[in-house]
Amino acid sequence: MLFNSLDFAIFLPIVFILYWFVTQKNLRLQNGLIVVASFVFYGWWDWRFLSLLLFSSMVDYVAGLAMMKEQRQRRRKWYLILSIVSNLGLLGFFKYYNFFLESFTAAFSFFGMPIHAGTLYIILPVGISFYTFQSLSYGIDVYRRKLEPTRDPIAFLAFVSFFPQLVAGPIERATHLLPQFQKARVFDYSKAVDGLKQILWGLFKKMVIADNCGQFADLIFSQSESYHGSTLLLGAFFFAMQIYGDFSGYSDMAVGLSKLFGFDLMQNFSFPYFSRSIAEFWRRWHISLSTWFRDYLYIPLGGNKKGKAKTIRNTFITFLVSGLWHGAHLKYLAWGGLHALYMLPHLIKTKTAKRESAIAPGKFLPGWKEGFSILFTFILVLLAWIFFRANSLAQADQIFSEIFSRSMLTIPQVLPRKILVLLVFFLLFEWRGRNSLYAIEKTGSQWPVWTRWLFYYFILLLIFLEGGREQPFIYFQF
Amino acid sequence: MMKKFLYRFFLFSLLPLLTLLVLEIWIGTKQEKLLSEKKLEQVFRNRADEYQWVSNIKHPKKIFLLGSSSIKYGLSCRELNRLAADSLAFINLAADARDPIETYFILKQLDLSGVKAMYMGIDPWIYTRNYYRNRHQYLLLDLPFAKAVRYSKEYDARLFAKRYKALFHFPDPDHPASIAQSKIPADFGSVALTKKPVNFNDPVTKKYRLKDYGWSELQFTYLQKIVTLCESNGIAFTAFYPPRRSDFILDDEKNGRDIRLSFEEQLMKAGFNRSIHPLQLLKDDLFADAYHLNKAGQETYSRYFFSFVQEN
Repeated sequence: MLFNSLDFAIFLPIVFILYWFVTQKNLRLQNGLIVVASFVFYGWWDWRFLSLLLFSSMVDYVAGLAMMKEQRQRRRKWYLILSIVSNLGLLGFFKYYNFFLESFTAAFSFFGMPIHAGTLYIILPVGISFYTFQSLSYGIDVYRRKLEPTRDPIAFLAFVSFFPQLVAGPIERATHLLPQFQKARVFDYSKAVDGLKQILWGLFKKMVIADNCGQFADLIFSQSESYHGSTLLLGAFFFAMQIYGDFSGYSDMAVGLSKLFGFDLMQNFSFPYFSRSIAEFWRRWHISLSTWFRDYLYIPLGGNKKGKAKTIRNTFITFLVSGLWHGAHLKYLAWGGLHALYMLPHLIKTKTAKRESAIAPGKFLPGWKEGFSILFTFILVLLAWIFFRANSLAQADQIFSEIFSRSMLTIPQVLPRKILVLLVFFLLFEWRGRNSLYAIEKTGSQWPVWTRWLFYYFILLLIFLEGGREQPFIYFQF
Repeated sequence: MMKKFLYRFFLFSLLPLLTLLVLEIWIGTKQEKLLSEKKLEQVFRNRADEYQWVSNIKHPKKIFLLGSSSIKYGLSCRELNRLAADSLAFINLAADARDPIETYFILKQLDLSGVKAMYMGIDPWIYTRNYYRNRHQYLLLDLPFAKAVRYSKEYDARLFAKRYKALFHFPDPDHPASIAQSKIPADFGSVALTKKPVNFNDPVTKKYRLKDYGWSELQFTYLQKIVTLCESNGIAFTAFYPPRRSDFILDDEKNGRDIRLSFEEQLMKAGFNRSIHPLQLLKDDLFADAYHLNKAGQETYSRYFFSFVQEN
């Protein structure tokens, strides 16, 4: 079920009413409702995949309890391995089986030993990378004794399957979200209103920005050989806006929806395109995944505590795995690898860089130095997106050679004015709200009600009139 | 707190809901006027711009080929002109997803002097409301509220909003204004299919969806209007079924009997009482998909079609 669908528009009020009016007095019942609603939500795509969700949850629930009862460290480790192998096994089979099989056969053929292995027709279950990672974090945190495992299977199931963030994150940590299922939620008017505002902005980002930009990104990338460098760069820009609007829009809706039900989810995007360095970009882009990799991969590998060489190695491993997390394709590895390369100067520097604070605080425009850093970082990110969006490495190569040619100096062959105007409107609001949780969080807080409502009606009207051709959320495939 | 929230949410929703209600009442009560020829003429007013080149063909015996993609890709005017030793000038006015309504307004805007005959390929699914999603958004006003909801749910969430945009004559992003074209195209409007077309392998059961959306009566009315336009200009009009791949002919035979009967009934109802020339059987390897001929198929079918024109 998509957030921007009619089905969801019917589903949400029903769940909302049952949640606050029927089940509110009984916490277990309320959590039970969340589980049922989440299963309906997920099963709407394909009910068969519910078994995977159940399996993943059950393994971690049981492993968590077993780790709690067991004092011997060796045994506890075995339970953790069981959890990791089950989750990554599921993910590996559904997401990477064909990729690795094809890579092995290609490698054997390269060394003159051709082997024949048939690939399987495997449908990728929606959001599998998100809920397996969320479930994994629970097992690891219990093992590390950072978290007391829950005995309540309903609360645990609700934590793993919570429908607002089930299929595209934010990937929540058990330490943050699980306790919220264990205590009674009280309806908070301001929080609910804030949630609705965030949903509205998320819908705008998805339906107006991402869907419109997506049409042109698709057009340009599908016939890249017919376009000049300038058009191809514009195509990459449209894709950059599409993926940001799409994914951060979804996250906004997820966070907003959770607020309606009295939950707080973590911020997943913090205006990443205004970052002043690549390191800052990764602190602002898909925060829940970046921090997941930091806590469960980069730091266990040694992080930056074992010398420069190992720091660089760990950074490359983390970025390559992060690339692979997005999909079983060499282009994602190239994208991750390029970002790791971008990080190199930052890693080699002897002086520890000062952590960036708010962007141009209290000013309408950034200073020259800050403005240049933002632009430079954005260009680096934009170039990396070409690998991500291209159909193959060969196409990315063709696009790069065209971008770094004289044809870059021509006027783009595709120049959709209306979309560019919408993008200016969007980026202005994003810039204005750059130091808030989401762009319009504080917009209108001092205005009279009717002015504020007019502003919301205007956004609604834009969604209604300028919503682009419906496109599936990009991150559902990961 | 909850009461306040629900009350305010209700108040906030009231304006959009009332607006929708007013618009729906407007569409419901003024439908006849909204879909009148005068209004539709406004919608399709510049559609013939892309055919400015037609008036540059100075031939006393022009023959127009009308229809949708099956005709655009199915017949080669160059081949037909060659077969006719240039005694006739074939011109292809068919286009992807082109329906009788748009065809009628294009014809109305074109100079018909020197036109001897028109041949129109009839693809019955073009006459269904199910294919409104491929038409100009204005035609979505022909869908009642409940059907529009179902329609947008099934095909594209934007379709629902498109109805209201059509009401205020917003431009349709999927049907941009025609670009004036005065240079005569190489094959006089025909195009040889080099890429594989998509989405045209639907079986009969999926293609029509008559139970869900029904026939578009407007399409039948405008088919008859084309006939009347021809008659008033002394132009011969012939309708024919374009060829299709054998498995789809069998599918039609097996599962499409009721649809065929209902189609004929609708034609009669609209006053169209001419016979439609049956389709030509062609080998399967001449097709790019169920209804579109490939380049070799286009040449082969053009030869068959020319003999048909001669017989006529």
